[in-house]
Amino acid sequence: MKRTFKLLVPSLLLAVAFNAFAATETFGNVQKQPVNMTAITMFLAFVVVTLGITWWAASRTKSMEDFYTGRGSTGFQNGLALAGDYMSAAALLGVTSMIFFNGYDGMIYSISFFVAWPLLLFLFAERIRNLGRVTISDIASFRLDQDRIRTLTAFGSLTVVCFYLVVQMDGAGQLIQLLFGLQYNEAVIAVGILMAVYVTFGGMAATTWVQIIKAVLMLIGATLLAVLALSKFGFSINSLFEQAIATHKNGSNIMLPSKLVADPIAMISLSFGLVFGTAGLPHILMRFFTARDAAQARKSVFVATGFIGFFFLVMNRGPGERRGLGRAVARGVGQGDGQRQGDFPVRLPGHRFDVHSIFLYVARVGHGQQHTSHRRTGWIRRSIRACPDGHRRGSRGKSLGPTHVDRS
Amino acid sequence: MDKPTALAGIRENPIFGQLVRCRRSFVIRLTLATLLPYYAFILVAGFAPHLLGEKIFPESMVTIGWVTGLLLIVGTWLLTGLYVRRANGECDELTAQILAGAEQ
Repeated sequence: MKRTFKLLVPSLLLAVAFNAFAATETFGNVQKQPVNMTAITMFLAFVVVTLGITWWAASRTKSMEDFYTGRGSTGFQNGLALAGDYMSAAALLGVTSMIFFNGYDGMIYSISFFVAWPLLLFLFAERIRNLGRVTISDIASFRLDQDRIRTLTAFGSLTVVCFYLVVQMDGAGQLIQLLFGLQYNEAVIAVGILMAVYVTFGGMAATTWVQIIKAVLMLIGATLLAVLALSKFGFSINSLFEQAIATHKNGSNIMLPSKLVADPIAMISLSFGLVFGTAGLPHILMRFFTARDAAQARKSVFVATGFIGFFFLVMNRGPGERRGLGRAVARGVGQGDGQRQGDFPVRLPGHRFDVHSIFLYVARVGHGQQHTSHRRTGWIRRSIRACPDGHRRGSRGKSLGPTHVDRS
Repeated sequence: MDKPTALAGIRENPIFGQLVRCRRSFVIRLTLATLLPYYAFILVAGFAPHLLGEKIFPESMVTIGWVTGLLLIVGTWLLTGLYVRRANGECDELTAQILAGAEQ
């Protein structure tokens, strides 16, 4: 399941980032798109590079321990990989969309995810590492009945993988279909095969390197978006918040915890889930084996928390921008130059990097991922369709800006 | 060297006791330093959310909630740094001493 993010998020982020032009054009219709050569080239280039890394890592893998742990990363490398593991769908998509739709809730989630880190380090990390085992079931069966524990954890993993993978693969298929004009079925199968190849041949060392690449890309992307967003408001957080409150349908309530966590019991329950659930993520625990020694493993947590904290903070800035954007753009930036209202165009030679649309898209899909109900797919389709014209139709895009945009 | 006796030697080593005590109290203090502010924040968010919506200055749009969030994230990161520094320095030194003693 983790493997899916590993390739998925960076490659799609890359594809989205470099193909914003295509993305804007295809928002209106998420069905099959004409084949988009630029997007496919970017995607394939990324695939080739990561497969190269996998091959390189595989050639250095000599033993079982190498394969499962890829031991030998320095603290800094392992820290970046940890950050990459961690800044996955929940952080990028979930938190962004939550801030977009509910405001301060996203901050509560970010803090809770983050607090899990030191607890993990103080309480579990060293003991687990000292056991010298490879997987969570190895650890659990260290003092318990091995057969039963392994059966239990196998059931647990398979159940989670089933549900999780369906959501992930569905998201991957939709995105690739949207960006590349591939058929949905083909897109899902292609992504699935790629995942299997990476992990089977490369083992943990390749996974570490792919995670490092992903972490770096995501950090650069998020920082760039935050800076571009703030530049729209003269680098004043104050005016950003002002615009956001003025534009959001919930007004100044976006500065408060929303209905989602309004009940104190719900709030406390949520915090338990977020903190201790995060502290038990197996792919995070596993990362303590991939560092060279205990000192490097500890150091890697420090590096990772630094990057993740920074990432959460820029994520909290970036999305905040979008709320204020509808109005700011309507007031002048986007008028009369053929841009759609609500777009956030940054002109670079030869390309139009439509940052607003990317975030909007990411936020929509992310929000959809939190609702894994039976109507989920339809919901995403509808909301994506509503995206570019959200202001005008006021349908699913109502939180973006009121209909006054029309009149102005 | 026989394994059980080596282990017994380590357990009786006064430095080992010192290491365990030092680590345990340090870890407990750090865990509390992480959890207390966080749960104070969660309780405020749960029972008195309007406090988070207060503005830091009357003319500013930035609210206490966002500043608290920033402080919690940065503070947590610094605590992690503190732990790493101490564990990689002092505690690893004690471990090395114990291991050197066990090998004799």
